[in-house]
Amino acid sequence: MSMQASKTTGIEKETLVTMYRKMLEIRRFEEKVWHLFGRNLIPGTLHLYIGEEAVAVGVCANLKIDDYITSTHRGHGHCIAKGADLKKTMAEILGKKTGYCKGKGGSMHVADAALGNLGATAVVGSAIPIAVGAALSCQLRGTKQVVACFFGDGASNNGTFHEALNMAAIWRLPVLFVCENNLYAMGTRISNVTAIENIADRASAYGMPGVIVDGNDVIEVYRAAKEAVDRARNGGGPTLIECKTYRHKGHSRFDPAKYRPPDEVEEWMKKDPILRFRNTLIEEGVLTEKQADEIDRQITETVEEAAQFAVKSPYPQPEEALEDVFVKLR
Amino acid sequence: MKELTYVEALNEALREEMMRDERVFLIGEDIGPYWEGAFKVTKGLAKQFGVERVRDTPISEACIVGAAVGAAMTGMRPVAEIMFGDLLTLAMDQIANQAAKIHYMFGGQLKVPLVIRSPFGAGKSIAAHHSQSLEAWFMHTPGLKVAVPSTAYDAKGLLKTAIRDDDPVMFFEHKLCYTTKSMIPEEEYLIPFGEADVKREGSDVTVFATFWMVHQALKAADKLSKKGIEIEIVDPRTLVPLDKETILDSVRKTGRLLIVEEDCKTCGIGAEIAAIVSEEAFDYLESPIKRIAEPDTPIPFSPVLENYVIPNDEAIVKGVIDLLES
Amino acid sequence: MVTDVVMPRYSLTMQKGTVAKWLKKEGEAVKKGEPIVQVEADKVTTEVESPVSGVLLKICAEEQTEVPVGEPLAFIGKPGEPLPETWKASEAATVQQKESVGLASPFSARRKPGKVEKVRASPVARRLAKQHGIDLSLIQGTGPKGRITREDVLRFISLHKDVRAVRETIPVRGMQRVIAERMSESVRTAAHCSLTIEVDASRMIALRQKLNGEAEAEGGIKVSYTDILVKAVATALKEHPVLNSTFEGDRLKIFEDVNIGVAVETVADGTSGLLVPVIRQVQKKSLLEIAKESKGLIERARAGKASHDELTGGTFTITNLGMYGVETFVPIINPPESAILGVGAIIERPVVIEGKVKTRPMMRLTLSFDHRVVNGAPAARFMQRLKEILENEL
Repeated sequence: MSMQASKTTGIEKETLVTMYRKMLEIRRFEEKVWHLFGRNLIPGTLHLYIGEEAVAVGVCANLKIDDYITSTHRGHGHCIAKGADLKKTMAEILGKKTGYCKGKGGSMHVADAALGNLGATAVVGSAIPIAVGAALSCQLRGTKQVVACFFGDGASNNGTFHEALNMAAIWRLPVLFVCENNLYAMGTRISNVTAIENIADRASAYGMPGVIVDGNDVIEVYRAAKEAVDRARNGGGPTLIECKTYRHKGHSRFDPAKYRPPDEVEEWMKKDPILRFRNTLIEEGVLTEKQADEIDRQITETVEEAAQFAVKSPYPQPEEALEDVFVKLR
Repeated sequence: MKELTYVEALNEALREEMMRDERVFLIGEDIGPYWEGAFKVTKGLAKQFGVERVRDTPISEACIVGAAVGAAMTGMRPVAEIMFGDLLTLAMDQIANQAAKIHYMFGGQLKVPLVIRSPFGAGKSIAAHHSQSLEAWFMHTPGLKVAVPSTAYDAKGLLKTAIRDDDPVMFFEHKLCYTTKSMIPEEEYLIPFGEADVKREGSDVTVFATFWMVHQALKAADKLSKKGIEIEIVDPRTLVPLDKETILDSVRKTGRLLIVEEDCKTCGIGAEIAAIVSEEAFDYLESPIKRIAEPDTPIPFSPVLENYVIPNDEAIVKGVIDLLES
Repeated sequence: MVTDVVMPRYSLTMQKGTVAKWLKKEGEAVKKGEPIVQVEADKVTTEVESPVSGVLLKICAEEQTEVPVGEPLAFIGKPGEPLPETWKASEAATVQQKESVGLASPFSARRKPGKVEKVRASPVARRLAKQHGIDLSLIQGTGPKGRITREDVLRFISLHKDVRAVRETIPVRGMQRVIAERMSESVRTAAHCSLTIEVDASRMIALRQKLNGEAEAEGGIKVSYTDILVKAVATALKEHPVLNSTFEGDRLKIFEDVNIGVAVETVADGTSGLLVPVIRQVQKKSLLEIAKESKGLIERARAGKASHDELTGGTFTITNLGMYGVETFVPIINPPESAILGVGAIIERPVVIEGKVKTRPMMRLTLSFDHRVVNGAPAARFMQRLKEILENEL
């Protein structure tokens, strides 16, 4: 590999380390969730973000605390990248009273209003118009906030995608449409349901820039998102960023993902975003091996504490099921 | 006091609330300066408040409502207009899965102070895609409030309340009510949700009616009065929250309930009202509860066919007499 | 084979009984001879036993329902066995309903459980009727198809208006129902006539003190004034047997044995009741034997455990209200007996003895007798003799 052009040039060291930490936090958190799920401590279903960490982290590293994100059923990574408290996130996934949503949302519906996480929705494509609305709100209020809207390749074939991108473009709304193209909508390969190779190509149809990035390269994601965020903040309107990535696990729960060819899986595993980023940081002297290991150790500990907190937390009282239907009925 | 039509009263409510609170903005198809709303409810508002706050949209109902939800979650108070109630189907996920559930699903962290205005009702020969009355669907969705004003006076007072409410409100209007008139006070007034209005007092039969059926019931009441029968017309004004007590009190007084509803009978709003009364006021009934509703058909086009399916004053007169004799 | 369990007949006069309590549930296994239900009839609660072993297939009468003698209470057989076709729930219920209309007061809050509703009434009319304890079957409905309306019930209430505020409405059934029937029958049929005589109770008092003093010392049975009266009355009756009799239609039955019933108040669930346990063959018994027997009988009667035999077969009745300070009262004859003696309180009264006013413990006895079969003079002679015994022969 050529050493003349440094990959990380122009990105502050603090930002790089924070991104590394966040990616690792997501990875270790998801591994813990998988472990707890295996022990039957998590009700319902699970959609793990392992393998896609670079997308959420590369985008969110460009966001301020009052910027907004919308998330999906595969949303733990988005939450953590936006700064979520691991304890409250884990507790929510376990259905505990101490969770972000007091046990009413679960794995597929974590929100953190204080951090601008407008919540994960589990109807594929449903959050795209909501992100447009949040961006409209930012524009109307004149706050310079931006919105990052995460969704998958599957959602790009839902009507909401088209309505929302069109509306965002005509009004030049400050929103990033971040498509996590992990090649599969559940078990359906994207090439079977989409006639074009790149989803980002659709951007031109709505009159906005479309960018394709290696979604397993956090620096590439970061740089693309930075450009889009800057444009959005300055009134330049929306961008569609397609991040080519891959999930390491199946779609959900016990899906063994047998519909994916083994050599394809093997190929993508070699492109593990965390391994690549670690190597880059060490190669370019941002971190030493020892420092990188120390970060991992700390994060493993923090995740363990979050898990203990969640496991020990109480469940809600059954009657709490009746609360929060309305802000105020009368 | 001044006499205003239902449309003018709605327009006045929107204007007053937009002047009062700059977070309020309108979003919908053809509501802006060129058309000013399919029924002219937004007349003059784009000129007064600008096209940013009275925003024409593409024909994208799901995204109109979705965008209104997103804006409401982030500090705005949008009023979305869906040109015909029939088109709410296109935005159903945003209404029923998003707006209705966000406050609950996220444990109360986020709220959606959103109003979706949309007209229902048959009687204008515009056939199956522009004539339905679907309020029962929304009553059946926890998390949504449902307003159903029958008069200009109620329309204004309820819309102002809806805009100030912190929960998503389905604010339904009725195409035939648009031209009806009420005396409107000069001073500001709001009508609280969950307070039914007794549109006419009577001792013999309680008639539960909404929207255009209130007007039909009032006509029927005059005819029945000449026969010595006095009906009491209860207009709930909001279906969620529902003022059960006023309905039950009236039934306890008269002992008889006729429900007149402009929607199809099966699982319509009347089914719910009948169930509530039989659960909570059974011991006060003199006779079985009776429903007058549309048959379970789409709304047909030809006036002959359409008139056949919509309940009218004559049907109510007959229903009341049947009830007294059944 | 399905075996029915019917309402048993416990006496010649018994026409129906009330189901007091089911001891077994439908579907429960029962053994032959095992009690399955408690039945209240003619003042007595009795357990009805299962005639066979099997499963209780069907309960035909719910608790507090009256069932005519011989009508089925339950069916017992193998699980799933069909009930006999001759038995239909609706028919049984209809019979009861008709009877109740004839007997019940219009204001009876009681609704018969399991009764087939034949009355058409609106829900509001039903609620009002229930609140006011009105039997809807007594009201003529004026609503559509004859339905009873709120107006109909309100009209009925105003017609039968009782300005007195009702504290509670107690259904009259079981023992009190029998008392009601017997007493009104007695007053309606017997030609009641009464005689009062005053007796110097000095000797009764002295005798009782003496016997009770001994009893205290030896741990024996205490003797009551009623016991002494039972003994004295028996002696007098042997000499005046016309009063030791029952009048049955066209004949007067004069009995050899003197079986004296003693009226006893019973209290159950805070409600006062009345039973008359019978001491048999009093003429053959000593005072102490009488005292001992009456004590046991009274206890059993009060506990609701007196047997049917112990409560029937009397030839004469004594009723004593002296303990409440009542001086004189005129009792109603316990039919079909011919006479009854009412006993008043012993009170110190001034009496003239050999020209001087002295105080004496005096007791007034009132005999009610049926003048259809006993005339005044024989009755008076009986009383004269009784006085003599009590004053001189104890």
